[in-house]
Amino acid sequence: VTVASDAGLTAEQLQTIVESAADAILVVDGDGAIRFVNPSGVELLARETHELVGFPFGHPVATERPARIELVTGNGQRRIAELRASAIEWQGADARLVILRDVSDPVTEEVSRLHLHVRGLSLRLTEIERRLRDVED
Amino acid sequence: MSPELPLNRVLLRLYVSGEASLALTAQDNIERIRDAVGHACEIEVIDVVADPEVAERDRIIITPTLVRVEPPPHLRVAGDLADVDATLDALGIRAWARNHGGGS
Repeated sequence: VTVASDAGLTAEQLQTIVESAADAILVVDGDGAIRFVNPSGVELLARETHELVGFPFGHPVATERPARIELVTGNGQRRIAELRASAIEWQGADARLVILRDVSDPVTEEVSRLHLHVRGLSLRLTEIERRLRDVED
Repeated sequence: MSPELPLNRVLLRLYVSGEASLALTAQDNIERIRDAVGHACEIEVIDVVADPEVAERDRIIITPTLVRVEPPPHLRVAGDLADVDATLDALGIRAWARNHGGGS
């Protein structure tokens, strides 16, 4: 039993939701190739559906927090996005559901950049601590 | 490709973009990956903004993308590479390193 079946949603209604979603929704198969992309994904990546299906996306790796990535779009524009990925079954095989949220908005981007900067400083501190321990040993 | 690469080494190719903070974070993370592999690990870094033809040729739509070039097969990971364990698993490197006397 799923939330969708609990709500009595039909396949057509689910399709409407996916196709109307503001976020890009992709399905990436076990070989890292795109198998499905919704209209927002087509728009965000600025490539045709037929071009994207089969495209080697790669294995999406994201922690519980969204990964901040940059898109190389078909029209040469660069877009900053947050990537989330979760395991699903697609046509009987393991796959990944990928959500891409455009965060290219200047304010959102600045907040994300500051978060990233703090995270980068934290990583560097960890590395310095590790090297200090090595020296002490 | 590096055909002269010894069989007991790993060649990874990291595609980054001009976005400085993202590129720096990716390189921080790949240093952690290099440490985790635990033996000689060669890494090529390609800036897709400086080298757009390479991005098109290699069909890169996301940066960072990390590709295992050697040993074959070619495998690619898309994301910020922050989860080193998941990245190594997705690239099949951990199992390969164990079989070739590496760490992790």
